[in-house]
Amino acid sequence: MILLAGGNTALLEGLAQALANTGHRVVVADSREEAEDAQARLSPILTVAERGLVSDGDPERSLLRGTLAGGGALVTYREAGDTSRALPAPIARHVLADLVLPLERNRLVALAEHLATRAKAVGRTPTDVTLPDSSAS
Amino acid sequence: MRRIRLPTASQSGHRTPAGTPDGQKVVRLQVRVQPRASRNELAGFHGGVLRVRLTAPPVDGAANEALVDFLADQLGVGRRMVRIVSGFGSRNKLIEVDAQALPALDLILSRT
Repeated sequence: MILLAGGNTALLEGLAQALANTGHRVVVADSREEAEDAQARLSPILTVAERGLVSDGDPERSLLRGTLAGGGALVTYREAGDTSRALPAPIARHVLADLVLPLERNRLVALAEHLATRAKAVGRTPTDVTLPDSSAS
Repeated sequence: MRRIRLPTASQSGHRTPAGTPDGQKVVRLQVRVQPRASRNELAGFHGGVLRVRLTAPPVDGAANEALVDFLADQLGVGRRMVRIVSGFGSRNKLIEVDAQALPALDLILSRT
Protein backbone atom coordinates (compact mmCIF):
# COMPACT_ATOMS: atom_id res chain seq x y z
CA MET A 1 0.00 0.00 0.00
CA ILE A 2 1.23 3.47 -0.87
CA LEU A 3 0.24 6.56 1.08
CA LEU A 4 0.11 9.91 -0.69
CA ALA A 5 -0.10 12.91 1.61
CA GLY A 6 -0.44 16.51 0.54
CA GLY A 7 -2.75 19.42 -0.06
CA ASN A 8 -3.07 19.39 -3.85
CA THR A 9 -5.82 16.85 -4.37
CA ALA A 10 -5.69 17.04 -8.16
CA LEU A 11 -1.97 16.28 -8.21
CA LEU A 12 -2.37 13.44 -5.73
CA GLU A 13 -5.22 11.88 -7.70
CA GLY A 14 -3.10 11.92 -10.86
CA LEU A 15 -0.26 10.23 -9.00
CA ALA A 16 -2.67 7.76 -7.43
CA GLN A 17 -3.96 6.71 -10.83
CA ALA A 18 -0.44 6.31 -12.18
CA LEU A 19 0.50 4.10 -9.22
CA ALA A 20 -2.79 2.18 -9.30
CA ASN A 21 -2.13 1.34 -12.95
CA THR A 22 1.01 -0.50 -11.86
CA GLY A 23 -0.92 -2.63 -9.37
CA HIS A 24 -0.53 -0.70 -6.13
CA ARG A 25 -3.27 0.13 -3.71
CA VAL A 26 -3.13 3.83 -2.98
CA VAL A 27 -4.51 5.82 -0.07
CA VAL A 28 -4.64 9.61 -0.15
CA ALA A 29 -4.53 11.91 2.88
CA ASP A 30 -4.98 15.65 2.63
CA SER A 31 -3.89 16.65 6.12
CA ARG A 32 -1.07 15.84 8.51
CA GLU A 33 -3.40 14.26 11.06
CA GLU A 34 -5.04 12.00 8.51
CA ALA A 35 -1.66 11.02 7.07
CA GLU A 36 -0.26 10.12 10.49
CA ASP A 37 -3.37 8.12 11.30
CA ALA A 38 -3.25 6.24 8.01
CA GLN A 39 0.45 5.56 8.35
CA ALA A 40 0.05 4.21 11.86
CA ARG A 41 -2.83 1.93 10.93
CA LEU A 42 -1.84 0.75 7.47
CA SER A 43 1.97 0.61 7.56
CA PRO A 44 2.49 1.56 3.91
CA ILE A 45 5.47 0.33 1.97
CA LEU A 46 5.92 3.84 0.60
CA THR A 47 4.80 7.17 2.01
CA VAL A 48 4.94 10.09 -0.40
CA ALA A 49 4.50 13.27 1.58
CA GLU A 50 4.54 16.94 0.71
CA ARG A 51 7.62 18.60 2.20
CA GLY A 52 5.63 20.80 4.53
CA LEU A 53 3.96 17.81 6.17
CA VAL A 54 7.34 16.35 7.06
CA SER A 55 9.49 19.34 7.89
CA ASP A 56 6.98 21.45 9.82
CA GLY A 57 5.34 20.85 13.15
CA ASP A 58 6.26 18.75 16.11
CA PRO A 59 9.22 16.48 15.29
CA GLU A 60 8.07 14.05 17.95
CA ARG A 61 4.81 13.56 16.13
CA SER A 62 5.81 13.45 12.53
CA LEU A 63 5.57 11.25 9.48
CA LEU A 64 9.29 10.68 10.01
CA ARG A 65 8.46 8.68 13.10
CA GLY A 66 5.54 6.87 11.54
CA THR A 67 5.28 3.19 10.86
CA LEU A 68 6.26 1.77 7.51
CA ALA A 69 6.10 -1.77 6.23
CA GLY A 70 9.32 -3.75 6.35
CA GLY A 71 11.60 -2.43 3.65
CA GLY A 72 9.39 0.62 3.26
CA ALA A 73 10.55 4.16 2.61
CA LEU A 74 9.54 7.78 2.88
CA VAL A 75 9.66 10.07 -0.13
CA THR A 76 9.06 13.81 0.03
CA TYR A 77 7.97 16.01 -2.83
CA ARG A 78 7.48 19.61 -3.78
CA GLU A 79 5.49 20.93 -6.67
CA ALA A 80 7.01 22.26 -9.86
CA GLY A 81 7.70 25.97 -9.39
CA ASP A 82 8.34 25.62 -5.69
CA THR A 83 11.75 27.24 -5.20
CA SER A 84 12.20 26.28 -1.57
CA ARG A 85 15.66 25.23 -0.49
CA ALA A 86 16.95 21.71 -0.07
CA LEU A 87 15.62 19.57 2.75
CA PRO A 88 17.34 20.03 6.12
CA ALA A 89 19.98 17.38 6.63
CA PRO A 90 18.23 15.63 9.57
CA ILE A 91 15.17 15.10 7.37
CA ALA A 92 17.11 14.30 4.21
CA ARG A 93 18.74 11.40 6.04
CA HIS A 94 15.35 9.80 6.54
CA VAL A 95 13.95 10.09 3.03
CA LEU A 96 14.66 7.93 0.04
CA ALA A 97 14.18 10.78 -2.42
CA ASP A 98 13.00 14.36 -2.69
CA LEU A 99 11.02 14.67 -5.91
CA VAL A 100 9.55 17.50 -7.93
CA LEU A 101 6.05 16.41 -8.90
CA PRO A 102 4.45 15.91 -11.30
CA LEU A 103 7.64 16.36 -13.34
CA GLU A 104 9.28 13.32 -11.76
CA ARG A 105 6.18 11.15 -11.75
CA ASN A 106 7.92 8.37 -13.69
CA ARG A 107 10.70 8.35 -11.13
CA LEU A 108 8.15 7.97 -8.36
CA VAL A 109 6.51 5.03 -10.14
CA ALA A 110 9.93 3.45 -10.63
CA LEU A 111 10.76 3.89 -6.94
CA ALA A 112 7.47 2.27 -5.95
CA GLU A 113 8.17 -0.64 -8.28
CA HIS A 114 11.67 -0.99 -6.88
CA LEU A 115 10.43 -1.10 -3.30
CA ALA A 116 7.70 -3.61 -4.13
CA THR A 117 10.11 -5.80 -6.06
CA ARG A 118 12.68 -5.67 -3.26
CA ALA A 119 10.04 -6.49 -0.66
CA LYS A 120 8.95 -9.44 -2.77
CA ALA A 121 12.53 -10.64 -3.17
CA VAL A 122 13.05 -10.78 0.58
CA GLY A 123 9.63 -12.30 1.26
CA ARG A 124 7.94 -9.22 2.61
CA THR A 125 5.44 -8.64 -0.17
CA PRO A 126 2.34 -6.99 1.27
CA THR A 127 -0.80 -8.85 0.38
CA ASP A 128 -2.33 -5.85 -1.37
CA VAL A 129 0.46 -5.36 -3.90
CA THR A 130 0.03 -7.10 -7.22
CA LEU A 131 3.29 -7.05 -9.06
CA PRO A 132 3.22 -7.21 -12.85
CA ASP A 133 5.00 -10.59 -12.94
CA SER A 134 3.12 -12.14 -10.04
CA SER A 135 0.69 -13.98 -12.32
CA ALA A 136 3.52 -15.67 -14.21
CA SER A 137 4.90 -17.46 -11.18
CA MET B 1 -40.90 22.01 -7.88
CA ARG B 2 -43.26 22.43 -4.93
CA ARG B 3 -41.63 23.53 -1.69
CA ILE B 4 -42.72 21.72 1.44
CA ARG B 5 -42.17 23.03 4.94
CA LEU B 6 -40.31 20.58 7.13
CA PRO B 7 -39.92 20.69 10.90
CA THR B 8 -37.19 23.04 12.08
CA ALA B 9 -34.04 21.15 13.01
CA SER B 10 -31.27 22.08 15.38
CA GLN B 11 -28.93 22.83 12.51
CA SER B 12 -31.23 24.74 10.22
CA GLY B 13 -29.65 25.98 7.06
CA HIS B 14 -27.58 22.89 6.33
CA ARG B 15 -30.13 21.58 3.91
CA THR B 16 -32.74 22.73 1.50
CA PRO B 17 -36.17 21.23 2.10
CA ALA B 18 -37.69 20.45 -1.21
CA GLY B 19 -40.18 18.17 -2.80
CA THR B 20 -40.15 15.96 -5.82
CA PRO B 21 -42.76 16.47 -8.54
CA ASP B 22 -44.76 13.57 -7.15
CA GLY B 23 -45.02 15.31 -3.79
CA GLN B 24 -42.48 13.20 -1.92
CA LYS B 25 -40.67 15.16 0.80
CA VAL B 26 -36.90 15.25 0.41
CA VAL B 27 -33.93 16.92 2.05
CA ARG B 28 -30.96 18.22 0.10
CA LEU B 29 -27.48 18.32 1.51
CA GLN B 30 -24.17 19.56 0.15
CA VAL B 31 -21.39 17.00 0.47
CA ARG B 32 -17.67 17.19 -0.25
CA VAL B 33 -16.11 13.82 -0.91
CA GLN B 34 -12.52 12.76 -0.42
CA PRO B 35 -11.92 9.55 -2.37
CA ARG B 36 -9.09 7.05 -1.82
CA ALA B 37 -9.10 7.75 1.92
CA SER B 38 -7.85 5.22 4.41
CA ARG B 39 -11.37 4.49 5.66
CA ASN B 40 -15.00 5.43 5.18
CA GLU B 41 -15.97 8.12 7.67
CA LEU B 42 -17.74 11.40 8.21
CA ALA B 43 -15.04 14.04 8.45
CA GLY B 44 -16.98 17.01 9.73
CA PHE B 45 -19.72 19.46 8.92
CA HIS B 46 -18.47 22.98 8.16
CA GLY B 47 -20.13 25.86 6.40
CA GLY B 48 -23.15 23.82 5.49
CA VAL B 49 -21.07 21.16 3.78
CA LEU B 50 -20.70 17.61 5.04
CA ARG B 51 -17.23 16.17 4.42
CA VAL B 52 -17.10 12.45 3.73
CA ARG B 53 -14.01 10.30 3.33
CA LEU B 54 -14.35 7.21 1.17
CA THR B 55 -11.93 4.43 0.39
CA ALA B 56 -13.30 4.01 -3.11
CA PRO B 57 -11.35 5.54 -6.02
CA PRO B 58 -12.98 8.18 -8.21
CA VAL B 59 -13.01 5.82 -11.17
CA ASP B 60 -16.03 4.67 -13.16
CA GLY B 61 -18.44 6.06 -10.57
CA ALA B 62 -17.12 3.85 -7.80
CA ALA B 63 -16.90 6.75 -5.35
CA ASN B 64 -20.46 7.84 -6.18
CA GLU B 65 -21.74 4.34 -5.50
CA ALA B 66 -19.72 4.16 -2.30
CA LEU B 67 -21.07 7.54 -1.18
CA VAL B 68 -24.68 6.46 -1.60
CA ASP B 69 -24.01 3.17 0.16
CA PHE B 70 -22.15 4.87 3.02
CA LEU B 71 -24.75 7.59 3.61
CA ALA B 72 -27.61 5.10 3.43
CA ASP B 73 -25.80 2.95 5.97
CA GLN B 74 -25.14 5.92 8.26
CA LEU B 75 -28.74 7.04 8.02
CA GLY B 76 -30.10 3.55 8.46
CA VAL B 77 -32.23 3.73 5.34
CA GLY B 78 -32.28 1.93 2.04
CA ARG B 79 -29.91 3.17 -0.64
CA ARG B 80 -32.89 4.07 -2.83
CA MET B 81 -33.65 6.87 -0.36
CA VAL B 82 -30.30 8.54 -1.04
CA ARG B 83 -29.62 10.07 -4.43
CA ILE B 84 -26.93 12.22 -5.99
CA VAL B 85 -28.62 15.20 -7.64
CA SER B 86 -25.56 16.91 -9.08
CA GLY B 87 -21.78 16.72 -9.00
CA PHE B 88 -21.33 13.22 -10.40
CA GLY B 89 -17.89 14.14 -11.69
CA SER B 90 -16.96 16.51 -8.91
CA ARG B 91 -15.90 16.27 -5.29
CA ASN B 92 -18.69 18.67 -4.40
CA LYS B 93 -22.04 16.98 -4.67
CA LEU B 94 -25.65 17.75 -3.91
CA ILE B 95 -27.33 14.84 -2.20
CA GLU B 96 -31.05 14.27 -1.87
CA VAL B 97 -32.40 12.18 0.98
CA ASP B 98 -35.99 11.20 1.61
CA ALA B 99 -37.42 13.20 4.51
CA GLN B 100 -38.07 9.93 6.29
CA ALA B 101 -34.37 9.97 7.19
CA LEU B 102 -34.50 13.48 8.66
CA PRO B 103 -34.11 12.43 12.33
CA ALA B 104 -31.13 10.25 11.51
CA LEU B 105 -29.61 13.02 9.42
CA ASP B 106 -29.94 15.50 12.27
CA LEU B 107 -28.35 12.98 14.59
CA ILE B 108 -25.27 12.31 12.48
CA LEU B 109 -24.79 16.02 11.70
CA SER B 110 -24.93 16.88 15.37
CA ARG B 111 -22.25 14.28 16.07
CA THR B 112 -19.83 15.41 13.35
